[in-house]
Amino acid sequence: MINVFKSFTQIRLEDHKSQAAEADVLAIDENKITSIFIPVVSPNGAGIDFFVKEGDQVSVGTLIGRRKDFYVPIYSSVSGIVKGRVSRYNPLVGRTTEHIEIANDFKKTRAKLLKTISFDSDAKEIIAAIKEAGIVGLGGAGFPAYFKYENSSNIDTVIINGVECEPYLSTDYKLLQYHALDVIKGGELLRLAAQADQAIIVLKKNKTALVEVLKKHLEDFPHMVIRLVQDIYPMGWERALVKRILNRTYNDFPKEAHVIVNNVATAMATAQALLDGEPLTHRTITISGNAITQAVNIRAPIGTPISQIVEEVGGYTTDEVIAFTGGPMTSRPVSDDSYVLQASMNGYTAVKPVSYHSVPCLRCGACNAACPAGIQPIEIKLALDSNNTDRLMKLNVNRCVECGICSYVCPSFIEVADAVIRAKIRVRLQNAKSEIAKKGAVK
Amino acid sequence: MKFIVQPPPFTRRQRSTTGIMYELSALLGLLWIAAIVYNFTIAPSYGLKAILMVVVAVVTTLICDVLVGAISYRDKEKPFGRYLFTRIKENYSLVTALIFALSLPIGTPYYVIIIGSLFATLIVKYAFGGFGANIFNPAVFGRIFVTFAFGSQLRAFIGTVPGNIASLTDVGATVTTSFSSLGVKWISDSLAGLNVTMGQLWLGNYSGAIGETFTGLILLLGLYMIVRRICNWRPIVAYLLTVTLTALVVALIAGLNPGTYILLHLAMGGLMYGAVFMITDPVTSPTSMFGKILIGVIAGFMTVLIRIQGGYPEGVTFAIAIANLVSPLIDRFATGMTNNNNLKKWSVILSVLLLSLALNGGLAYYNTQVQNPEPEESQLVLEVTNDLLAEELKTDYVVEVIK
Repeated sequence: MINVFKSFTQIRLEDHKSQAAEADVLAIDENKITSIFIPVVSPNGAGIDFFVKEGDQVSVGTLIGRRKDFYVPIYSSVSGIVKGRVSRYNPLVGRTTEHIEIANDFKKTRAKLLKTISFDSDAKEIIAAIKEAGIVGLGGAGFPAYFKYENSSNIDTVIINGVECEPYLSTDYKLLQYHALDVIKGGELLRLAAQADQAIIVLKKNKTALVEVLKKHLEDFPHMVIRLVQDIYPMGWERALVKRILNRTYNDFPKEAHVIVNNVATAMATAQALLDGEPLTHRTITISGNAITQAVNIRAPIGTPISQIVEEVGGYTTDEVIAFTGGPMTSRPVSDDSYVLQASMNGYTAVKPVSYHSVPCLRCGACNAACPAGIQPIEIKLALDSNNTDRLMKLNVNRCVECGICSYVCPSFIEVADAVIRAKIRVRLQNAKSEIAKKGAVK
Repeated sequence: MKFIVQPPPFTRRQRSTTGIMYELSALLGLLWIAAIVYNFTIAPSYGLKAILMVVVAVVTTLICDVLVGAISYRDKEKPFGRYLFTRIKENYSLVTALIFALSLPIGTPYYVIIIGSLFATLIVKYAFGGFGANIFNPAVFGRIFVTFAFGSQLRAFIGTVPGNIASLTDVGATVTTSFSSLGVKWISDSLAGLNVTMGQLWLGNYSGAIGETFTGLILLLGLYMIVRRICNWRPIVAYLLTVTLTALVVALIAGLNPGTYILLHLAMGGLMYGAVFMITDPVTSPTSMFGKILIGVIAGFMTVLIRIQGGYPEGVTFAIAIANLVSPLIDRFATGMTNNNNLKKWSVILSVLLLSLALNGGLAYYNTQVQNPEPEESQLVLEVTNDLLAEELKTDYVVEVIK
């Protein structure tokens, strides 16, 4: 039904994908990588227990550590010798952190493969195997994949998200092109893990070529279907997908609507780990943007410095760039490219600097009307600017998914999205404060 | 290699406030041209006046911009000229000046235009912090200010009444004033005695506020603005729909021709001008889409109410002023999610609409049926003492002569 209280126009972004999407996927020359670096903190700030010490010999696939908060094993992506700790920039936590350095010995020796399972295994075994393979959400979130399956019940649908609605990124597209069968097998495994009735692969309408590729393999998998969605932003967002595909809504997590959403890259990694025994050691990343000489998808070991990958594909075209991990709508810019490739990074985009000259807000309400989460970005910004925390608490700030649409549509070029993100921090702080105050009162 | 850090997103829609504002100015310019052309057909002095009125308003607001810019110039690092240029460019006073000047009738003296522009720019706009911070629409309040302060000077002719002005029944009055003073206030579907036809009311070739008369043209400009997304369609549609529905109810109760009556409401008193250029001003509207609909309904309600019951014939500017007033309140009310509570939002909008229908309909009933019942066959009774005079007075109207 049409809602007159929301914008009728849907946001269609210029996708800038064609160059990288049409080129073949490259593989980085691993003989040029002298060392890889594994950060000692995970993206959410939790620590990692390391099982190796300086001087240890490791191979590709050797278990080197495990996250402290979730059961996520970390495997070495090269063979070589553990060198010790060095400090490097880590944009996922926003500061410099220590990294374990592993010097490459270029021998590519492989550790013992993981225990493989088959489609006959029961849900528990599959979840355990996903857990053991260290699979995290490869669409950008980096959230442990097993967690959704272990903590949900009554799931009837698994959505395999191949929408990739951010401009510039094309890793999912290339994966589907090259590894369609793996994605389907992975989707089937995820469906079995969730004990769901169906798995739905979701693609954008304009990816008709992929549909042909996928359909060839789908005959053997009767529980799997393909659904197409419009080329609008943010169609790849979980909530938007569940609403569009199944017409269901939920409050906090998709499991409330009996759905689990996973990325196609996650599905592929699941298939490769569970059926072929290969742990998550490599990933494909889109190197793109108008400040990059050659936009391309490239497969590299996790832990490779980004600067090295960029050099491999030809470097930058300008001296000044705005660079970010992921797409241009949601990603925070990085302060340099010395950081290393991590499992959740699906793109590195460098664009020529553009500055937006902002003028006062004209209260047109475009951000309110366009916000896919249904909150009021400009009201949040006004409340934040006037330090009105009480009002901020009433504005549902935490529903913001940081999609960036509010800043995108703003005719005054106001950094609305940035203000909402800052407001989220303010609200979190306020909640923590009132929590402490409550505890104090009890004592 | 230099990495620049700025907040995402790094791609933006190429639709800027400056672009919107100058496109709006261009549309108002079209209206100005129409006014100039029409006024030249009356007399060259009229055409010249139509040009100069707008020029005077624009120059006055520009002087205000420079003045306020000079006072608020703090950052000595930045050259003054550059500072002033950005300031003038980004305060969009041109739009205010155009909307204000085009809402005045041709006979307005220049000093009234200057004082009105000064009031609109300095008091209504800059005293509250300039573009984006003003809580009232500067053009609307400038117009209200001159209505109060110089009401008798706002004449639809220059000097003496020239013979070829189509529409003056009453010297010094606009068509709307004359219309509303005929019979029961605003309860009439007849243009008799006004010397304008319905066609003229929609085409605009009659004398009134220089820009407001071109109802048809303004409607076209409004459609263009909606299509080009210069303004939001919600307040316009809500406003026109509310006026139409309320007028329909009033017409049915007062026994008028509904079609004609609705068209009269829409064409007279600068209603279309207010709907397209005044109520759509985003700065003084609520930010929520619900609020944008609601102020349209409220303004429509108030317009008809002021017309049939209030002391001013047009009602549009006052209605929009009231809508401006309640906007912050509506923003408070609409706090929270924009995609739920739709039932609540609809019930608020519909209750205001129903209130408008009930109150205006009731007033129409009261004014026509209770206070001024249909006059019966007129009977003139004269008391005379002279027989001869009594004989002489025996006409069709005198039924009986009482000695």
